[in-house]
Amino acid sequence: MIILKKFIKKILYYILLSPLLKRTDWYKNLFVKNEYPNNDWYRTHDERNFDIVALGSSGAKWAYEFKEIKGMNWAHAPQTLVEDYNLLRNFHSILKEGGMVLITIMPFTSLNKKTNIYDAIRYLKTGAQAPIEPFLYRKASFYCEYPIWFGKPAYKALIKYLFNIKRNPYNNQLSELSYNPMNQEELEYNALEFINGWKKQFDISDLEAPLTEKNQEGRMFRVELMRKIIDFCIERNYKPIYVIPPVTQHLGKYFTPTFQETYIYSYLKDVNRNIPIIDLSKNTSLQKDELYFNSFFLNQKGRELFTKEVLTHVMI
Amino acid sequence: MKKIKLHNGIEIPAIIMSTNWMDYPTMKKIVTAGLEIGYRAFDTARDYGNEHIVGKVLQECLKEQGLKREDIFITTKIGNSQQEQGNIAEQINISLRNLKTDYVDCWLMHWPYPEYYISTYHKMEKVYKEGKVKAIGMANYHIRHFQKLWEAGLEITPHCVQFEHHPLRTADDIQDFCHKHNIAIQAYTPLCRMIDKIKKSTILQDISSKTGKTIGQVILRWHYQHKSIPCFKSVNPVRLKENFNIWDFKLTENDMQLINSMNADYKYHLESVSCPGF
Repeated sequence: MIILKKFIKKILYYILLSPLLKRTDWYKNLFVKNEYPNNDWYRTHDERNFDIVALGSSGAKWAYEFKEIKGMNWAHAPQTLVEDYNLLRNFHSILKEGGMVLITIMPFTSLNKKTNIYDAIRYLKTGAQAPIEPFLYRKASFYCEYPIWFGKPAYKALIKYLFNIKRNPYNNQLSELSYNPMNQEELEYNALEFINGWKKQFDISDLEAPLTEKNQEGRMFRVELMRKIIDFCIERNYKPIYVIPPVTQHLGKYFTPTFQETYIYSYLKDVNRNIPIIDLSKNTSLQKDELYFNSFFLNQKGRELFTKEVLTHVMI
Repeated sequence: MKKIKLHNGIEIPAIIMSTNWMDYPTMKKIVTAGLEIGYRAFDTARDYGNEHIVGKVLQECLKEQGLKREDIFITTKIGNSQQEQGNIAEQINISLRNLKTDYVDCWLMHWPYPEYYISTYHKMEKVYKEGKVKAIGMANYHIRHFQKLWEAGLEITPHCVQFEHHPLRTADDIQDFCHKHNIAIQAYTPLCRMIDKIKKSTILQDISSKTGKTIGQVILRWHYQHKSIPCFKSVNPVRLKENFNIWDFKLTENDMQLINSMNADYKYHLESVSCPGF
């Protein structure tokens, strides 16, 4: 009887749920492979000697649009600095001699974030060899095969899909827009949601206050890791460049000069590597609402403008 | 068979057949055909997962064709996972058992595996001194790896280096380094998989028409004339025969330079994909 129940469950999953789940934005965002120059890719593509690659987390994922040069954006959302380093270690040979590595610095890049199952799944689908942690690797492999067992997020995604609810800021279609679908009120609310999320994630009560003891410890780890990334690039004759992207002023107003000094600039000083910085965080022409699809992420039009600006700075 | 002398006096055939990823029936067919055509050098590696098949096939084919072990030249390689284990002296014994032989002609470190490659080389030097391998060397090194190895100090200058080398990747820096230290060059992917950039090259097409040889033969001759030993894979006996027929013509100095001018630092294989942290 138990075997029969299991069999029926499997049948139900494969015939009904799996095809539906694969149509959801949640599934597409989490499980559909991005393009990385892995073992499969290089045997089916002739392109080599790329000019530029970009690393980073969610902000970087929606920051770059390489069209006129050979570039790849390796950022996915979320992505930790550990994954940045692993992606670079696995795929750097796609770069030409002297190629550029854009290291995208987001407001909380300097704080340590533990790799979770979402990071592991996203990392797993890159096809990179080195896994994050054996335990997470096994768990992520299982979810990749049976995403329905993710539980609540999978059910939610199915319900949203079935009832045609599209409010997710990570929605791929939203990111392809050339305007901002949110009004002023929604943008304010969205910015506050991001801020509250980060405060909770990193246990911060006041963004203007000095780093907490825990975050100082995380900072030390990230200083070392960033040095490794930069030294890795330089040893292989690539050009590492820090890029600090803009956000809308709805969100940017929370990133005061004190905040930026505490969370960004002092971090880069601690890393103590003399590499170029393209700081567009307060570039007002790139902070216009119309260039984003929420308060944080650049839309298609914004990505094109921002990338053009970055490339002008690196003189391609 | 044309041969090239390594700096310790050992001679290596000027063209090598690769056996990577082949199963027994395919390898038996190809090695049988290769030996009949005149091939005498075979390349394998622990990472190809078929070292033991190479051993079985070679043992059978030598017997069937009345050849002796010393008539052929075997190159094998030590993989990253073996480097990580660190028991390099034991690893050669495993390779010898797999290959059913009491010596390997050329033993290469497959990759400059980060954190391990210098100590691996020092351990390989000891194995060489014991006589279980006739020559040692490495594959896939860049100049920065050589520099680090040289800085760490070495007793035995490598005899042979294998790397991706073809008209689209002349790797002049590595070639110069090898010439300076009298290290022989083995070229893998010597035809760059005959990708379009090769097949449609007007330089190669013109030389091919002029010499009455195929583009593949022209490239293999180019290798031979600049002392690079091509190591290629084919599962087609007709292609094997064609690739061996490169001794009856010569490229001019101008042809050689034209082919060299195709260099685009193009690597078919992305090194870091096979060796993260490369």
